[in-house]
Amino acid sequence: MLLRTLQRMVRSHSTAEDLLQETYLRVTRALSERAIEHLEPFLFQTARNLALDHLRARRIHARTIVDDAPISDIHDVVAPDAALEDAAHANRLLESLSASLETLTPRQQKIFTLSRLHGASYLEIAKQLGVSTSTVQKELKLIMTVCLSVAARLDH
Amino acid sequence: MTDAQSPRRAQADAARAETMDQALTWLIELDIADAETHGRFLEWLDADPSHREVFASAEAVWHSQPVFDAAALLAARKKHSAG
Repeated sequence: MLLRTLQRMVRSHSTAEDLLQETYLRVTRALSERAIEHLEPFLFQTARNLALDHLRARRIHARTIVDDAPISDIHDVVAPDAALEDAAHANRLLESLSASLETLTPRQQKIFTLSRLHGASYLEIAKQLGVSTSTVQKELKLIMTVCLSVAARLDH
Repeated sequence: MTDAQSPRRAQADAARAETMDQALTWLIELDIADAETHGRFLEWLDADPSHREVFASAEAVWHSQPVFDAAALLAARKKHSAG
């Protein structure tokens, strides 16, 4: 199922197998560092991230790089010589994110850390905070939009 | 400020906002997705080239190291200020 998912995304059997291998490596590494509650979604998410990174990297190579670099350079999969620039970009993004996150409500901040730091799903967050799942979904969307606009602003 | 924009442009912006909203819903939903839900996600992803593009841009940020680091910083600061 995981291999089929990868194949559908990258449309190449050998690439999908490479990505599957990398997926298992990453998940094993992650498991050695922290507990993962829902392994199946985590596996799919890792595989999907790798496939999307692959597609993005291929697209970057395919077209001669144009004016606006996409957000893809946040990921470590792109060319190694971009590593230094990536680190500087990541630092700027972290600074801007921190400033913007300060403006969120305490509940939104709590939802953000539960989701991003603790890897809690919206169901778990709703349970923990005693609010409805749709409230958490709405709050998460708003927080995501804040993060995305911070990243977009930095890229221009 | 942008009143010179054509209705077509406004329409494209609205369509993109709608796609982004769907992409964010998926991003939230995928945390608990089983294989069947994941199948529906892939169908959505394949339904239009813009879906893949918008989803990739959102996921790249949401799952990035800086976002994780920002959460760690925020949690540490709150803990500190709480005493």
